[in-house]
This record gives sequence, C-alpha cells and structure tokens, in this order.
Amino acid sequence: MATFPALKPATRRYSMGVFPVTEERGFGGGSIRFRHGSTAYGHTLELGFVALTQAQAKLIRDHYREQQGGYRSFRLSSQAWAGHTNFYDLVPSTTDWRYDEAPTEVHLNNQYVDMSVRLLSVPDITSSGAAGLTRILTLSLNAGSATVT
Amino acid sequence: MASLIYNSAIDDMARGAIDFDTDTFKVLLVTSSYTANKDTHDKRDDITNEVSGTGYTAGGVTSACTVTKDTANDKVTLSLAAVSWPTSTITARGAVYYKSRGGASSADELVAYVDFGGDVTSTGATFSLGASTITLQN
Repeated sequence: MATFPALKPATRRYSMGVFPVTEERGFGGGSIRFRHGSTAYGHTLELGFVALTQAQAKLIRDHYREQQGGYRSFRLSSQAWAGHTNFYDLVPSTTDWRYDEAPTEVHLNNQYVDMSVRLLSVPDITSSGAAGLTRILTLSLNAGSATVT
Repeated sequence: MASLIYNSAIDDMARGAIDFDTDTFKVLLVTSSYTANKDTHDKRDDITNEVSGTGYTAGGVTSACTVTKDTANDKVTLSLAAVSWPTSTITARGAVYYKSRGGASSADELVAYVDFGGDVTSTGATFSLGASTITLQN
C-alpha cells in the first residue's frame, strides 16, 4: 500500500459519508430502517494543489499509476490533513482511500502545475475490530377468528 | 382494541423462558371487560374477566404449537392450532394465548391477545377459535 505523496493541499473539500442503512416497507405500510453496520463509508475528499513543481506533480501522477487508478486503496499522509491537529473526528483512523477519478491538472506558465484529486473512502475491512450486527426482526400476529356453529 | 403480542413474550423468547417447540400452550377466553396491556401484562394472573359459562373450563384449552422454518422466505412461523368449545354457552370478546406450566397462574407466560372485534356468543353450540400464527420475519 503506497501512501499518498506528502504534499500539503491548498484546498480541501470533504463530505462525511453515509452509514449503511437501508429502508424497507413494513407490513403496515410504514418505513423500517435496517442498520447494517456502525461504520460510515463513502466519504469523499477533494484535494486541490496549487503551483506544484513538476517534480511534485510527478509524485501524484506516479502514485495514481501505481494504484492503477481506482483499483488499489491507500492511506493518506498527515500532510493531506495539514491544519487539523486531530483528523480522526473526520474519518476513522483505519480508513483507506482510493481514487474516485483521475487527477486533473492545469499547467501554469510551463512551469507550475495546479492539480485536483478526488478520493473516496474505503472502510478498512481487515481491521481486527469488526462491527457487530444490528438486525431487526419483525413479529406479526395473524389472529384467528371466532365463530359459532 | 387490536390483537397484539405481549412485549413480555418477546422478552421470554429471548431469555429462553418460552420454547414454542416444546412448551405447552393454552388459550383462554375473556369478556369485553378485559383490556389487554402489551407493556404491563406478562403473566396469566394479569388476565381479568375470563369468561364463564356452560362448556367452558377456567384456564381454557390446549392449543398445539407448530414451529416452521422457511428459509426460502427468511421467516419462522409459530402456528397455534385452532380450538373449540363444543356445546358451550358463553360470550367472549377475545382470547389470550399463554404458556401453561400447569401450576399457579402467576407462573404462566403470556404470548398474545386476540381481539374478536366484538362479542361472540354461543348458546349450546360450538364456539370455535381459528388458528393463529406469529411470524418472525428476518
């Protein structure tokens, strides 16, 4: 697993992800929600790098190739969260990332490069602590009817 | 009042106090004066206003229970068999299923209350209660 290059982004756009919850219709027509786990997933992180040198831009390009695009997941360096003393309130410490799309570049004056990278979180399924299962069983009563003969 | 499953029954199932496969279950009849409370009623001694009349014995009759696992539809069905009180003269508004331990009513766990929707009266006739099923859907 190749850690993302230790480059400090100029901009950062982040979303907190979603929890594995599905909604079904109950017998009475109301909605029932099933929580399949307690770990959020689908965090997105867009990192904007401004005026990178060509050598720095190559680090990101090479990293993208090594991960074969969005195929392999990887960890971020602390530089990705520079400015946050503790970013674990943003994402679980065991979160991996993968490329959600190819990095984009804007070349400036044939010398510097602006790059934008969009990442998608991958919950660490190899972690030793597995989330428990919460499942709701539905009980229903089909009552017998009384008759007189 | 609608038919209901007593909350205590779910708790008793979880704790092993009720085994639908091997325990004995009975069903008794109650008049309209009984108000089922799914939260506070848990044992047979909470049941008031059981019917009385010709052809009816206090405590009701046995209702055989069959447990069926349906893996195709991800559910387990608990079927409580139909029962009847032949040649009876009684008036009932509902029925209560419970686990019968054969002793004090305070020891018998409640399972479900069936609301007939109105008084049903038999006069020297057979009072029948159809089968009831409890479904646990996964």
